[in-house]
Amino acid sequence: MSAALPFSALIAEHREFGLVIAVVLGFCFGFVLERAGFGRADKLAAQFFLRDMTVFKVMFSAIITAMLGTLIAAGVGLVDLAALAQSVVSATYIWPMLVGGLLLGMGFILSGYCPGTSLVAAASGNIDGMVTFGGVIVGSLIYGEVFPLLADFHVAGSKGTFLLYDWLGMPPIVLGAIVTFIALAMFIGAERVEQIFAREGAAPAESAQRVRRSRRFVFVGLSGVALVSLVTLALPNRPEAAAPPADLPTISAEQLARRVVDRPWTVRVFDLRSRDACGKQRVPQSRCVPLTELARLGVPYLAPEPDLVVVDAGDLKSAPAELLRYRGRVLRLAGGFAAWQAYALAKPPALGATASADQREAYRFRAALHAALTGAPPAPPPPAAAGFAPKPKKKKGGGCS
Amino acid sequence: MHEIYTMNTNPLTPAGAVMWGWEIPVYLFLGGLAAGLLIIAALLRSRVDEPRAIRLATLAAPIALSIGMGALWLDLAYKLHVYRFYGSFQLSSPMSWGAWLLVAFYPVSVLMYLSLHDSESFARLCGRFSLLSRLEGLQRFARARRVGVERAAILSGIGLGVYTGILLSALSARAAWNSAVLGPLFLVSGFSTAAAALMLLSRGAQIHGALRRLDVVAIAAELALIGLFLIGLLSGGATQQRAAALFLGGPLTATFWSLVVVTGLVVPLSLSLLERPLKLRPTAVIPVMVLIGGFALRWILVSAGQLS
Amino acid sequence: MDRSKRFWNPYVAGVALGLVLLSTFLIMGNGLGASGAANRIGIKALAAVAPLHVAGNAHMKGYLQGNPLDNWFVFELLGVLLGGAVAAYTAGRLKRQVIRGAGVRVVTRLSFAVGGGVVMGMAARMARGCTSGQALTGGAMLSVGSWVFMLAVFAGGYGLAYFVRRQWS
Repeated sequence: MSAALPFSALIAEHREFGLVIAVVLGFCFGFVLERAGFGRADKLAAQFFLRDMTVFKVMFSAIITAMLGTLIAAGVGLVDLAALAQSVVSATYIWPMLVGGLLLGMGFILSGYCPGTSLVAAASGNIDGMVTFGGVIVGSLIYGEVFPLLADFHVAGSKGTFLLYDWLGMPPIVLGAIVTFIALAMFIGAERVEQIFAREGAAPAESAQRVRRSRRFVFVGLSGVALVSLVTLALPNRPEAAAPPADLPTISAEQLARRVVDRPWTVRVFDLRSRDACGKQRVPQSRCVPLTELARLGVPYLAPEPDLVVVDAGDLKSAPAELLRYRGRVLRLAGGFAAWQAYALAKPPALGATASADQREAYRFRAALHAALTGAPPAPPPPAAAGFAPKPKKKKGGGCS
Repeated sequence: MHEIYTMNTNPLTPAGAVMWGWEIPVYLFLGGLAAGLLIIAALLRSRVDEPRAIRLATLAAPIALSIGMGALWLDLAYKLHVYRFYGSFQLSSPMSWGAWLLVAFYPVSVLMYLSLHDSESFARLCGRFSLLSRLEGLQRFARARRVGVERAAILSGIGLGVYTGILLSALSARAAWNSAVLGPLFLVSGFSTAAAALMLLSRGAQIHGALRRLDVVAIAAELALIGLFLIGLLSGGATQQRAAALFLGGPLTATFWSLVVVTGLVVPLSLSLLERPLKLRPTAVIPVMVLIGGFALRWILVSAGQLS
Repeated sequence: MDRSKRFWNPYVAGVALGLVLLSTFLIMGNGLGASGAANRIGIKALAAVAPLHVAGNAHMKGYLQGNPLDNWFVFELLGVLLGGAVAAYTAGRLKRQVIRGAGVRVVTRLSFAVGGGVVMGMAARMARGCTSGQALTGGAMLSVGSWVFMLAVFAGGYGLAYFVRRQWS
């Protein structure tokens, strides 16, 4: 699994250094935004009156630059595009994103800023920018307050990580080239629009010739890069996809329960089901890690001593590649959560009088576990040989988020 | 994302407990600020012709220190026992030294303030605050010996500035504080925050230029001292190396480098150096960054000692 | 006008911005954003005055595991402030002012700004990001949701622009 740029290190192991880099990158971000003129509400708002298309031009040149760069980096094997997309992009929820976009656009024209540019405006002394950012803070708190009412809408149209090229079923780089050319065509249109709607009497742009020259340079550069990037299609496929979906060794529900209760430091349990399911009920000590979030965890950087046990709803069909990067042993719970439910959350069947000592012990353990996890009254002690049942500590479920 | 596999921790001694809150950093910050203000006033009085700003600095020094001591007092467990510092003098205790230093700082700053007035302006001042006329003799004395008073001001300023650092490094059981550099570091940092504060308070062109030059020197020295501090820890024993790791990958890395080094030192230093070549007007931004950095330095070092 | 005091050519600025974004992707495996940090700052502040209230809120309580400010976006925000201030200062644009259309009162302008900010704060939570975190970052990664969001932003802006034209004329 070779992404030459192991970005996950800066998220997981060297997180603190990553935060320092965040300041540096943020610095560049703020610097460029300010120099583009995004610290001024009048310049931003002019976009919506078609007088000045700077917002559109800056935004789309930035998008295609970063897009082409990413696609090329992936094409030559510098990064793993799928893993990067998992890590960078938030999952798609069509409806809230549509409505949120409309609202944000309205807020944009009211305040003259978007949240990011309001910060830049604030930093350059504009009081309207400061109060806008204050408003953004208040607004996000209000959303938190009314969240219970919107909880269903908040996740409406959920598609997971959903990328345009997957949807259209074409190689990412081809789509990238198409997007680039569409954007370039729209830039030319934008120039026209500006000329038409420019305010009468507005001063002509300084040294129009130089502006035209740099514009041409960027256009030619971007389309050139887009064309050249298509070459990466010809490169041999990276071997990443070749890793066979290995079947993981299994652990039974009983074995897992014993380890979680008696030697919890020897296992690390990941629950791969959805957050909702996991939040409701899960193996004690386990951590909710929906499959989509696995890449974010920095699995290769987790301490390898405990065995990693993954729990899916049923039997895990194929091991996600990310899991195989764990440096320790990876096991899967045989039968998945259903097996756990059957073992630990259902009342243990009563024992016959002839049960062996081992069976008795197993029964005691299971009964105590069942009582502790469900809060049900303890099952009756095994017949005869009444003894001391080792009570596992009560584990609380839920509360994961 | 390392998980901690400790099952039982004694609830009475939570790991990484930080016992000191905001009070100590505030005290150290304002103490350093006061020391710097007095030193700057003494250094600049004969070099710049802006008596108002110099008086302001001299007056602000004891006020800042008093607020700081108020914060310190809030931190004391036995607030009524504060007088006991003054019942004895212990040669080996920096706390004891400090208590007496603080006492010396006040009369020196009063003398300094009086020496800034000539008889005419003092008479005007007395007109406004009649109580001051009782100090007339003292004023004449301070005025006559103003060079000596300046020296005393610089000395007590340096003493106070260094003391704010030594207060921590005296607790040598804390690995991160066990460094001889802390004294000079806090002194220099106090000096640069004082220059910044004064830049905010007075906008005269002449004093601004002088303060900017002082600030550039102080910030450069501070960067060097921070380097020395880390190198010193790294070349120390195992516990000290662990303390250095707090800033080099450990839990304080992000805040330390971004707030202290980038926000408080590197950016203001570069902007100060660019101010003249780009013909920029002075703004509040640089001083504010320096003040934030100075406060963050103390806050983070106080936490570092308690984590190490 | 002095060369450094002009705004950059939009295409050049855009490519520069794209390169910053690209480095963020490649170095950090992360995007750029602004509203996430706003949310965390708000929650931190609210938790300071009403901790139980925050702990009882389904949307907010998750942020309280650890310090909500100990986060990539918060540190990035610090950088944006620094970078913006440095850029504005070195271009001679750093000035305390209220940017507003001719004949618009300061109070009017600021209330519009706050109102717009509040709407955007809610919108950004709903859409999981704002123009930086969703449109720019997700747009460059070709996420469907981000493109829907981006087109909706332009639609919303153009839709309302006519009605608030007084503010900007």
